Amino acid sequence: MKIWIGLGFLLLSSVTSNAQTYTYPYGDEVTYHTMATTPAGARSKDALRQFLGIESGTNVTKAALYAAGKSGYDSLLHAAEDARMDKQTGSTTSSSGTTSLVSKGVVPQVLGFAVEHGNLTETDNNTTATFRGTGLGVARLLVGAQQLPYCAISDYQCESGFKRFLTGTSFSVSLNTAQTTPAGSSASTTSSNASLFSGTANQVSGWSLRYDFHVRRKFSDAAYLKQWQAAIATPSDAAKAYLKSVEDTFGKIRPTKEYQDWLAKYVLLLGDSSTSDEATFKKVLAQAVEDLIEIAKRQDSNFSTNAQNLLTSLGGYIGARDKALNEVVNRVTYSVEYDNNRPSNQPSQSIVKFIVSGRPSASEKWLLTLNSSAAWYNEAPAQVSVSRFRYGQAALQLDRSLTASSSNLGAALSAGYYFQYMADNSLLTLPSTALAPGTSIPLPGNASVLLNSKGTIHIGQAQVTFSIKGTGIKFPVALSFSNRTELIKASNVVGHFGITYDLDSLFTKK
Amino acid sequence: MQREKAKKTKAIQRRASMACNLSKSTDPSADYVGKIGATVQLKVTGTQGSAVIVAGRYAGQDLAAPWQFQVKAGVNFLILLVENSVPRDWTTIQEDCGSGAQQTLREYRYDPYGASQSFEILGN
Repeated sequence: MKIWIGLGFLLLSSVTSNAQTYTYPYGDEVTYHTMATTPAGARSKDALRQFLGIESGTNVTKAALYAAGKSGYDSLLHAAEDARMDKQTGSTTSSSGTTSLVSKGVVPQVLGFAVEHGNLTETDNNTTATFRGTGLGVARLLVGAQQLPYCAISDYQCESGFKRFLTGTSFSVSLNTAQTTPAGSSASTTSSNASLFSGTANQVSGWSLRYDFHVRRKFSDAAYLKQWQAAIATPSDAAKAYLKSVEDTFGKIRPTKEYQDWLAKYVLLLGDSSTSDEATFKKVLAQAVEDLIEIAKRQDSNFSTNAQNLLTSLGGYIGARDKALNEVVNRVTYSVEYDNNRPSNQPSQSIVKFIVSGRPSASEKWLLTLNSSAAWYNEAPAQVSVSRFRYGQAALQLDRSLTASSSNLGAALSAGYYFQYMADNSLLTLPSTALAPGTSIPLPGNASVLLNSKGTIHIGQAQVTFSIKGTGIKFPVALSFSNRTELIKASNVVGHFGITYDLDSLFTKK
Repeated sequence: MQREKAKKTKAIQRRASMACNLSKSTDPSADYVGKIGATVQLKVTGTQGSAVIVAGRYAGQDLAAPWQFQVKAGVNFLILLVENSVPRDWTTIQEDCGSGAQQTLREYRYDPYGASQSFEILGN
């Protein structure tokens, strides 16, 4: 049985609707099924009282969704989104274009979550803008968010196999946004290699497809339980806020006579033989929720606002819980990525990458990422003889969160090592508009030259990524050291800085 | 042998009921009743999974581990946020009455999208 949160309010407005989220209008989902299929006379009063009671968290959520309507559901999603984003900024350093040495093992879960509203994420690193999306996001755009609703990270039963597949699938398109002077333009009479290596503005510099395979832990695993217990207590502030909002919304109603009368009335009704068939049972239950909300509104003039706040705080809590459990549930992730790179003035290339990412211990803040890849030219140019296999590469990066997840300003330290073996000399394409290197002689047509670049590249990098809580904004600052670059055999020390912004937060704002 | 075992069980249950500070309320506005000032120690268990109390509030104040409170006069709202490692696992909230005895306050199916459980406690 699929038990998905969301859009419960729609179900209430049409008790015969066939939506799949929180299938029933009120009460525990499994108990509902038992109750509805039990002859009315066999439904015990105590069981009905507990089934209907607003003391149950399930009923609190369902009643609040009913009272707050669509805006309440949006509030819940947005709050969960914000809280999950904090997870990413606090514990891992996401891929940020050229400021990062390795591809990370996990496409941030926030993408998958946020893309349900149809958005993409932009990552800027001065010269490249990368738009990312997940298969789940695209599917939600096409068929609607309610068809693939929110599932808690540890609720494996909630997710279908298809949804899991979509969640693991992602894509990206990179645009070169550098405003450099193209080689061979009238402004440049003394062309240099440096200018040849620069990109031209607004071109697609690459695209990629990726699948993340999460190795999920078994609930019965003793190590999992130990780590789960340590992690689950983390979002304590969000938990307190949620409890306070439940108290504010329903705490005053419970002891009132009106509520007691409501409970007695529906215990009697649902125990009566007239509600023996499931359709009538469901109809009466829907009426019960409607009456309960009316009572709540009469008892508390702020009830509607409180219900909205309750859903916001619930979203904040479940998002924070996902954040805390992410390290435990998805402890190891394997990813396969295909990149189609279109570097400026070089032939296009294909890269296949294998990524493993995991935490040596869930109680620690370290994230270890390993990459290995192979690259080849999509087409070997006719003019020169060069191996189509371009390079093999391996990289290792360690990330550690430096701040508590509750900090408003987060910081994560990364250290990485990158090794690349260039199998052959690099191929450089000179456009017909370019000047021959070191001269002012224009080239007659597109030409290819080989640079003496065969050999090994070693790069070390240290990076600190700052993040601002709840905004989706990150500032990676990095310093890298290399013995050479791909095309130039000379040691290189480069400083990098960038800004990344997750558009998910923009799209989920009300 | 079995009779002896049953006697022992009954003795434990008696001790438990004597040491517990909450009892079922006959007043419909409250779930449980306790003597004002009595200390109530809470605990939770799961059937298949591991259950833990993540947060709690009683009489408008946050509770903290080890999750105990002193009964206050009148009807007061107790709310707990209980997590279970297995979604939809049968979960039990109990009063820990000491000496290995406990009484069940509520049994329910854990819902990851609504993990709170509340009680009205009457102190007199």
